[in-house]
Amino acid sequence: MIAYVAKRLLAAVPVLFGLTIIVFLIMAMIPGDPATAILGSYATPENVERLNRQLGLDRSLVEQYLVWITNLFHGDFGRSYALNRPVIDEVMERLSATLLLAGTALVLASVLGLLAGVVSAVRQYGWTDRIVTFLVLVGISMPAFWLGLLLILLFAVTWRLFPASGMVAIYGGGGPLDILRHLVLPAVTLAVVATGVIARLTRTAMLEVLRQDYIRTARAKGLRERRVIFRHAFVAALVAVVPVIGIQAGFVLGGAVYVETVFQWPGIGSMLVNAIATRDILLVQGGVLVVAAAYVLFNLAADVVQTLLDPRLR
Amino acid sequence: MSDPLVEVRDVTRRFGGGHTLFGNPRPQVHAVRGVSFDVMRGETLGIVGESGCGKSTIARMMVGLDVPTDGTLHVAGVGGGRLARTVQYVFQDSMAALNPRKRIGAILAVPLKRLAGLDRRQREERIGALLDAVSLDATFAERYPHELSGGQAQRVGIARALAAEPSLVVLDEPVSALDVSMQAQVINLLADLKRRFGLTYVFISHDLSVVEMVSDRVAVLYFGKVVEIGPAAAVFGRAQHPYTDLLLRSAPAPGRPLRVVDDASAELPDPYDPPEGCAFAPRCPRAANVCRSEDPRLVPRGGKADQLSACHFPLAAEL
Amino acid sequence: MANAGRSGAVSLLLNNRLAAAGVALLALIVAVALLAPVLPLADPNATAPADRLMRPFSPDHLLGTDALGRDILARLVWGTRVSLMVGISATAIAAMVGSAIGLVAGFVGGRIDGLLMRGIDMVMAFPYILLALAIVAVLGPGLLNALYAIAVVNVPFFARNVRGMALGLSRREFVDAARLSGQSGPEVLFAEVLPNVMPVIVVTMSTTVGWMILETAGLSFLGLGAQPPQADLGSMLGEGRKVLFNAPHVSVVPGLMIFVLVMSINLVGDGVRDVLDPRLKSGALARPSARTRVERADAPVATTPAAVLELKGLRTLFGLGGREVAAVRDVDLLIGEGECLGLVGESGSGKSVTAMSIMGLVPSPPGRIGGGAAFFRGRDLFALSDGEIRRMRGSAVAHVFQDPLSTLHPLFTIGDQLIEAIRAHRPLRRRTARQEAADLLALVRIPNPRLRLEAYPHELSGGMRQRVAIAMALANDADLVVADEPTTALDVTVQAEVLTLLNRLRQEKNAAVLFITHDFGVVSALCDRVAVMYAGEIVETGRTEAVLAAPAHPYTRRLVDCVPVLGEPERRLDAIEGRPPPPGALPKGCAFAPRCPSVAPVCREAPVAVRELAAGRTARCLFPLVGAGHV
Repeated sequence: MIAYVAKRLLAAVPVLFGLTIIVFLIMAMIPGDPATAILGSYATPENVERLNRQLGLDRSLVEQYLVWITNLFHGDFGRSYALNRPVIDEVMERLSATLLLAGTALVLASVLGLLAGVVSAVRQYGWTDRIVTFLVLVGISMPAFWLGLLLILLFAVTWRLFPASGMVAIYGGGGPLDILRHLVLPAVTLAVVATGVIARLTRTAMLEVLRQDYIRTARAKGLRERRVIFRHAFVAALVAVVPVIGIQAGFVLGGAVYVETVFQWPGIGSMLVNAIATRDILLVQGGVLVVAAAYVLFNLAADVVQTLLDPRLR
Repeated sequence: MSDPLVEVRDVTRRFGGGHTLFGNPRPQVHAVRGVSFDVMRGETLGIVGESGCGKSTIARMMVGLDVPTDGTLHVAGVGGGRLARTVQYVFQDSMAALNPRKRIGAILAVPLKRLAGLDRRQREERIGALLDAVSLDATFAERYPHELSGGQAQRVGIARALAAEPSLVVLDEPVSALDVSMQAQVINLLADLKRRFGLTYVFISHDLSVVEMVSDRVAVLYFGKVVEIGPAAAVFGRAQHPYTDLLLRSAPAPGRPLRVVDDASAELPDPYDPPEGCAFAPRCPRAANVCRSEDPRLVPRGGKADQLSACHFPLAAEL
Repeated sequence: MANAGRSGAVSLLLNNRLAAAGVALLALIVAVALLAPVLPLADPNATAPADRLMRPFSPDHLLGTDALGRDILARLVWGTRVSLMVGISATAIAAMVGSAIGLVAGFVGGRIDGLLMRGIDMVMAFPYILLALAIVAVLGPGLLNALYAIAVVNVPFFARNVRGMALGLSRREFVDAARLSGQSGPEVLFAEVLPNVMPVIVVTMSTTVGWMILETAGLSFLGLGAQPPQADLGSMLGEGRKVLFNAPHVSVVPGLMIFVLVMSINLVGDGVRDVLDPRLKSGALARPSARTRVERADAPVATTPAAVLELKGLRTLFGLGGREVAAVRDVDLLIGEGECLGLVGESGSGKSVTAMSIMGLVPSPPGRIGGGAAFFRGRDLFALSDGEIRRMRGSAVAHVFQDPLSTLHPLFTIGDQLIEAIRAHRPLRRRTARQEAADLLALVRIPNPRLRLEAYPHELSGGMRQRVAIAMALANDADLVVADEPTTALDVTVQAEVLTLLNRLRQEKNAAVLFITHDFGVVSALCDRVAVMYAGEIVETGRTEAVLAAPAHPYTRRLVDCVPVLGEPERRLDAIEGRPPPPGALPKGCAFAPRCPSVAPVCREAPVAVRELAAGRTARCLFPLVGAGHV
């Protein structure tokens, strides 16, 4: 198993390289003089010259890439001229906030989604199923940025149950409980869509599994229905659902952009929006790369879990 | 009846193989391991064997849907894939062989246009004639595949194979998916068509009784090799290879008791790593040391020129 | 036909109430958006600082005004128009590019496939919206750039779905057949593959268009899409957010519009998917319950309580598209202690349904028991509670099914599955049960039983797996084993071994067997008595040798005669012309009459009853081929 994980980790390396190539190519699409465009209003002659040197802009695309990737390896993601600090410092500072938010949302979505999906499949066409199916539809049609605003209006403004924004209270905040209070609304907002997708897929997977021959075998053996559903069917359905949870990690990390903006959560998402507004391209690039790398690891974890569940994949 | 229409020489087919990006060899399945035989003009050659023996791979190579890794395969003197006019194929899963979104008439029109080069009016006439030849109503041309039964779909498959007026038809398990009553209809139809159009058949099946009924000569395959080949009556009547004998004893027949042991200790060898000696040796009651080290050659045995077997200790030779 | 199929699909879509509601809602929204220029709306861009932030239902401003005093209703309609346009355009671009990539990759395969799909994987390795952000960051904010970005990040969905389908199709027999018919590669791609891929493209479009509208709105919300004065729903929401606390309606209204629009599209999308997904169309995704529903008017009494199994007047019905048809009608069967009864018939004859009805293993829906009874040692199984049936399954009555790969659970070791079968009925310690499981494997002659307990089903050959299934059926010394074509999927030599094993074990354990098969050769090897089924009815029963030697029913006669027999190659096969009647359209009289060579007018008049020809020999025929004396 350890060998398998190592093998999968190794296989992730080319993917990570691919990510850098795509990001690099996108950056190469910048129209006009790149250094000036990247620097925007910070395009002082020194800065332009410094960036040109750093990016090797007078050389071929391949050489430029090699210079760039070597710098990345040394932890040099360039410099945010708007913030006047190295990109890597800013990104790493904000990464933990984003991971906390996205991780909480993903766990929430997985637990609720699996539960709703199983219940809905077992009670197919019953009232529970109809209600769940409708809620799922509402969930996946919900614009997260709007839901966030509604939740703020209701829970923060009208009922004053949770804070409207930020990660810690400005005065005397910072304890785990304080963070938790701030986490509730954004995490719920972020989890809604993923919950819907996971619930829907779990339902389909369960229905698909429940008509398999081996479920008939389990019943023919005289097993209790509870055991048939929760051991024989659920585990088999999970094999199909786990990779989707991995993919949902990507949607949750992406959705964090909206949710962090709405709730002013100090994560990479809100950083990215600000950076795009100020045309702080290198900061955008660094943020995108780091979050994408995190997503690759999420998917890797999903892969490993799936392999643990299914001996045929070993 | 004596000149060979098909000549198969030392044909080998391996799947997979090659190297990964990092130079590690990829595993290789040895599906067909050096097969030679002829099919005479006008005869029916039956090919029998169990799953994994390579019979379908041989069939696909004969019609050009696959190419041998090694060896040569000639039909009417032509080799290398471009055979569609002379060789046609009938699929096991007749329904899957019909495009669900096309009418039967449109399906039959394709070979008439592409291979026979007929114009629209000629095609329409021929479609009617083809359907008639396989005992289907002309109205079937307007139907979609899902409106057909398995037997009817197989008739359409046969009609399509006949459209280009081939000399050889390779039938890959043409009746295995059909119910017994449909089986008989199709077997009788095939015999009838063969007579009418002077066809040559290669008939592949796992069902010994069907093969015995339709074949002039029979080749028995085991694990990618021909273990025995000869006239049907000889192979089924005086089997030389112990595997042929096991097959014959295993086939259930009405009014016959079971004649095999229920032992499961022996199975097919690993196709990724074929054994050095005879592949059947682990299951063979007659196996000796030589069988495990030396692969027997396919040669005439027991004083018969037309019955060949690949066995160090053939059965009928002792008689 | 094609037209009928298409209008059929539309009516199917509208029959789905949710989808119909979605269609209506979407049609309304689209109509209003299209008619925006001619509708009596205020100028969406006319600012009026004096009228700023008016509440909804104000005079002249039904939905109020925004921070610049612009009419929200007018802006909403025009904004919806923009959002729809952008979403649909992005979908069209993504669908076209993605499908083209997917088609080529799936159809050509090999290196090109590898290259294209690695590229797609790379794009998918990014969290969806992040890649769009990066593209917008580079191209600069703007509605058109947002559209491109959203289209690009959606290309992989189309490429992957279409590629999967195209790959599957290009390995299908009909594509091979088209090649053999002389079609060139591009012709095969466009004439054979593409039409079959279309449903997937349509389904993917209908399920992603909502997403794309949502995501472009999101980009606009962040200020990266539509730039003032141009407005789409997202940018309206973004502007409204600035006055969230004192005028919530400015952001709530456009958000609600996005939500309603996306939801209506998703409703339609789900409907389209259900219609185009053949699995759902056939209702196959209905979840079968743990036990067949029993709804019978009559409950007969057992006449032979000593028998292990007695079926009386069994009638099993299936719901088929609103209609109910009887798959099994009026079936009587008797199995004595330790007896092996072969149930023979062609596919669709009802033999499996009969066997599965006994312990309630027919899936409900669509099946149900509609009449008759199954008695196990005199007890009416259909009258038992679910718990009682469950306790009998796997202990008193065990099952062996056809395909041993699909009938064993793929994720559990065979040891776990055997132990589970044992412990479901006997409160043994796990250790003891494990020992028993190993003994069972030894009983079915599997070499190295202890080692094999750790194996997963896919690690065993077909024959081995079926031995495991047999071991499982014997785990609790069943009195009756129901074997549904247990050797049909096996190779002939393996089949012979497994049959020999079954025969030895049933004699050792004195278990009665109901053996379902289509093969008289197999019956003859194993069964004491045989029952022949046709069109849901038993047409003949008797001792195996007697029935085979002198069939009484014309159907049995023809069935025996149309099968080639090893060692009799010269025999002319007597094919049965025609086909069995579909269960929904049975003839009034004898079901075999339309195909029977010795049919008389009286055969067609009324259903034919079973007649006893001799002790233990019955036939459902007015003119049986053997008299009572010839048994």
